[in-house]
Amino acid sequence: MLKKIGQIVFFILFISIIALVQFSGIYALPSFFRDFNLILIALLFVLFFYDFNSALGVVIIGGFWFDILSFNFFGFYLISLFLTLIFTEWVLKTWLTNRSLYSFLLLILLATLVNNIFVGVFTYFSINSHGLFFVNYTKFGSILINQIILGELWALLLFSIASKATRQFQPFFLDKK
Amino acid sequence: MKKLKKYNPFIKFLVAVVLLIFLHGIGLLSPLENFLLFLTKPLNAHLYSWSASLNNSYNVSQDPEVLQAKIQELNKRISTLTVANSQYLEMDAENKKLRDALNFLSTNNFKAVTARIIAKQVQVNDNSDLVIDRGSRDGLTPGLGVVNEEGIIVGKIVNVKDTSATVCLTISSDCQLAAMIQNGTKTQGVTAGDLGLTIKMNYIPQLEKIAIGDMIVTSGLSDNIPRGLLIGKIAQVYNASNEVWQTATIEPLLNLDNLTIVSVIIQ
Repeated sequence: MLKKIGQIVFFILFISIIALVQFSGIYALPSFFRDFNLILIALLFVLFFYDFNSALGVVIIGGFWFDILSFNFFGFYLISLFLTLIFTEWVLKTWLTNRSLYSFLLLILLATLVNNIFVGVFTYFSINSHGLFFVNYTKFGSILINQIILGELWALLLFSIASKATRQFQPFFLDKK
Repeated sequence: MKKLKKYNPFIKFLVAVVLLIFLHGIGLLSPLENFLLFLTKPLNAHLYSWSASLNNSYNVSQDPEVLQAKIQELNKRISTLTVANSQYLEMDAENKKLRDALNFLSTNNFKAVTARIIAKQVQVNDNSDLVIDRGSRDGLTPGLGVVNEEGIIVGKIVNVKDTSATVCLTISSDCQLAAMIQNGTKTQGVTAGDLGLTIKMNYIPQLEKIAIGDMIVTSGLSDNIPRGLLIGKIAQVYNASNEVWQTATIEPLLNLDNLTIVSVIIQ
């Protein structure tokens, strides 16, 4: 029981720190690096390696932090992350039959694209839209590409570290038969 | 029943989200939100400070040619300032106003709230807003002027929450300030950011004499921003004979990426 509580507390703290690092740290970095969507990668990582329920936890904790820190309407991040999670879960269940590095990379690509569309649509209804729809943003395309590149690189790094550090991840790679 | 069990976490999540939005809407969540924001302020400020310094060193080290040009420009400015400084030193004894301007906040009797920057928010139109750790509880309202430690205006308050607020920067196109050129006729106009890099002052009548190097200050015509706060200096003047108005490009006098602490002028 205590172990379970400890795990939950650790999980809440870990996701909270990721959300704070994203909000105060990453967004202030130079232009290319500020597009890194750490919370989305964390969400996909948890969904891919753990389960849907834990991923819902990431959405609740991360979305809540973003909603109280940012100046968008409350629920902006909770709902956009949730819709991204639903889409990703559907892709994972319907299209990706194995859990290899390649499927994770594909998942990041699709989830980043869908998340940016959801965020763009919600931004249109927020005070920060400036009357622009997301397809008209000057940097929508470049931000999306940057996010995908950084996400994919991060995934490669995580997989490499994980495969070196533990054998737990080995079955996730495709067999070379 | 089986189906319901399958969707159980999904339903729980939806209930939790609806509950959170409802509690936030009626304000019951505010104490928890404020407590969490208060608790994480130091961490946010440190994270922002690290990223800002990283950003700054990245930008500086990126291009040696730009750096070299900057050194030459600064050397030129030093020699110009040395001459100007010797003149000012003589005037200093007779001109108390000028001396007082150096000690900006205290001598102007401005009531100000010092705030730490905790985040940066990039807008859809490429503008960046700063998030500061002070809000309506500290007396902040939209429209108040925000200055750095030297008294140079960096922007104004746009949105306010209980314990945080967003500041639009003078280089943002959304950030308009009533301004005045420190020339002979004290030409008035409105400044707005240009591409997130410089500031533009439009609608300057053709007959007004403006020159590169003229200083731009706030005119005091905005309700909440006092007169005389330095905005920048004119770097370029666009003056076509067939145009009704002139336009000036204003160079900010500080690197806005370096900001970590600002003051909001309340009165």
